[in-house]
Amino acid sequence: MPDNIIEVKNVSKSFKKYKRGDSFFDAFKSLFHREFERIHALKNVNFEIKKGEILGYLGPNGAGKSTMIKLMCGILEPDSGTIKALNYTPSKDREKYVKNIGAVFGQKSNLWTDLPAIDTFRLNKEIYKISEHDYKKRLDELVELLDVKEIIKSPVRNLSFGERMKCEFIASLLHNPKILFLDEPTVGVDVVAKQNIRNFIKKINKEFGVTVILTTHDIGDVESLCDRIIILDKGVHVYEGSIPLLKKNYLSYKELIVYFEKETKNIELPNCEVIESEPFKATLRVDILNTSISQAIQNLMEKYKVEDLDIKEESIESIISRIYKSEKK
Amino acid sequence: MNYFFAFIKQSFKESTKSRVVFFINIFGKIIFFIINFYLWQAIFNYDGRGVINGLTMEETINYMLFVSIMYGLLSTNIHRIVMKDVKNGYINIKLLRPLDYGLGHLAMALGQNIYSFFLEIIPSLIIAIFFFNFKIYGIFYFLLSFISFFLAIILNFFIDLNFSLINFKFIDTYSAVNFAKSVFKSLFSGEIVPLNFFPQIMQQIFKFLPTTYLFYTPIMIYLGKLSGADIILSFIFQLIFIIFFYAIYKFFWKMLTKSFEGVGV
Ligand SMILES: Nc1ncnc2c1ncn2[C@@H]1O[C@H](COP(=O)(O)OP(=O)(O)O)[C@@H](O)[C@H]1O
Ligand SMILES: [Mg+2]
Repeated sequence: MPDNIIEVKNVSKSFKKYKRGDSFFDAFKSLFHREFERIHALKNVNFEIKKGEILGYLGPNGAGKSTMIKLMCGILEPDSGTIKALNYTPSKDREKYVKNIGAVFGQKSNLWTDLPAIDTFRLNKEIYKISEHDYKKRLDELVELLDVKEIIKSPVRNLSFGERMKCEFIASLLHNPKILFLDEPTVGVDVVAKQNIRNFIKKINKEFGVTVILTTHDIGDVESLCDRIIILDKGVHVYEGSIPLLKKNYLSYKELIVYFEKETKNIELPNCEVIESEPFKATLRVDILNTSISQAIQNLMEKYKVEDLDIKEESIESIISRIYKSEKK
Repeated sequence: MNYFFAFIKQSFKESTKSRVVFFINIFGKIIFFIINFYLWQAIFNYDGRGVINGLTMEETINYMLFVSIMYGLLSTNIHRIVMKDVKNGYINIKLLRPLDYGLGHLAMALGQNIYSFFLEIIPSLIIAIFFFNFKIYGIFYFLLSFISFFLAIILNFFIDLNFSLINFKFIDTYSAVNFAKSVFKSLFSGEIVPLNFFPQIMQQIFKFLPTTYLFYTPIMIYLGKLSGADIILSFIFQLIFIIFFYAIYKFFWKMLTKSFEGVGV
C-alpha cells in the first residue's frame, strides 16, 4: 500500500537476560558459563502506520513499547518478521534510513549539556548536511513555534526539564524528517510546557506533514493528539483503533448522576448498581452491555421522581487500564 | 567531512571548562621533570659510560622530557565514553545519527587535543626549555616529530577504540583487559624507557609493533636519530597501522551493533 509509511509484519524480539548469582562461586562460574533466560519482549506483532497520522503506542511498563520504537528506528534487528519504513529495512539500511527520521527519547538527551542548545543545532546542521538557508529557515520556524529564542542560547544544564525537552524537539526536527519517534516525551514536564509541546506536535504534524509515533503514559497526550492508538501488553497488541472506536467497543458502563425531588433511599433498578447514595442524590453505574442507557433512564423515571440527571462516561484512562488487565468486555 | 571539523570545534568549545585541571597537570609535569632530571643523571654517573644504548645522558633526559610534555595528547578517554554509552544507553541515540561513531569521537578527541596543545603542551614546553635545558636539535626534525606525533595520536585513538569495544560484550571484565593493554602500551611504546634499552633481538620485533610508533619514533625523529628514508618509512608504517586499526574497528562495530540489544532508554 502506498500510503503506509511503516509496515511491521510478524515481528518478534527477545532478549537474553543473564542470571547473576550472589556467591563468589557463582561469579567464578559465570566466567566460563553464563546462564540466561529469554525475555520475549515482542511476540508476532503486526501493524501499519499511515503517512501523516499521529499514532499513540500505549502499554504498561515493560510491555515492549521502547523495544518496538528501537526496532522501527533501526537500532535493533528483529529476531523474526520484517519491518519496512520509507522503503528501507531500518536495521539493514540504518545509515541511510536515519537521515529521514527524528527521535526524542524522554530519558536520554540528544544535546551537549555543557553547551547552549544552539551549538548542538549547528553540529546537527553539519551531521545531516543541511544547507545554511534551510537550516536558518527551519530553525526560525521551530524556535518561533516553541517560543525558545533566548533559551537556546544558555547552557543546556541550566534549563528546566520542559525547556530542555523543547530543545530536544528542535534538534530532532532540523533535518526535516518524515517520521518522528517520541518515547515518553512528556515525562517530568510541567503542565504549561506540556500543553505547549502538545500544540507543537499537532502543528508539525499538520503543517509539516510529519508522521508521529508516540509512546506515553499521559492520557492527556493521547486524547489531545492521537488519531489512532495501539495498546500493547506483554509484547502482544491488545487493541488497535481510534479513540471513539475504543469507547464504542470497550465501554462497559456509564454513570448516571441523579438528583431527586424528594428524599430517596434503597434505589433498585435492573442492570444498575448504586455506587453513591445521598438523600437527594445518587450515582448509578449502568451496565450498558445488558441494557441501553435510555432504557435505564426510562426505568428510573417511572419509578422515582427525578429533578435532574447527568450522564458520565468511563474515562479512557480507566478503559485502557482495564484492557491492560485484559478484562475486555 | 564538514561534520568532522564541526565536531572538533564543538569539543574544543566544550573543553574550556576545566582550566584547573590543566594547572594541576602542568604542576605534575614539573615534578616529573625534576625527578626525571636527577634520576637519569644518577643512572649515567653510576654507569660511568657516556653513552648508554646509543643515547647520551642529555639525549636520554630530553627524550624523557619530551615524553612527559606530550603525554597528555597520547592518552584517550574513549574507553570511558564507550562504557558510559553502552551502560546508560546513549549508544541508542548515537546510532540514530548518520555518521561514523569512531570518526565522530576521533574528531572530539582532536578538538580536546587542540585545546590541550595551547594550555598544556606549549606552557610545559616553555618551562622545559627555560628551566630544564630542553634542547631543540634542529627545527626541521622538531617539526617532523610533530607530524609523527599527530599520526601517533590518531593511531593511539584507534587502538584504544578497538579495546573499548570490548565493553559491548563484557562490561565486567573490561577493566582487567584495559589494564593489560595499558601496561603493554607503556612498556612497548617507549613511554617508560627508550626502546633501545631493550635487548637487541627485540629491536627487530619493535619495527612491526604499532606501539613503537606512539612515542619512540616521534621522539627519535626529534633527536635526529632517524635518516630521511627511515622517517618517511615510519610515517608509512603509522598510516598502515591507522588504516589497519580503523578497518578492525569497522568490522567489530558492524558485528557488535548487529547483536547489540539496546540496553537503556
Ligand atoms: N537490552 C535488554 N536486555 C534485556 N531485556 C530487555 C532489554 N530491553 C528491554 N528488555 C526487556 O524487554 C521488555 C520490554 O521492554 P521495553 O520495550 O523497554 O518496555 P516499555 O518501553 O514498554 O516499558 C521488558 O521486560 C524489558 O525488561
Ligand atoms: Mg520504555
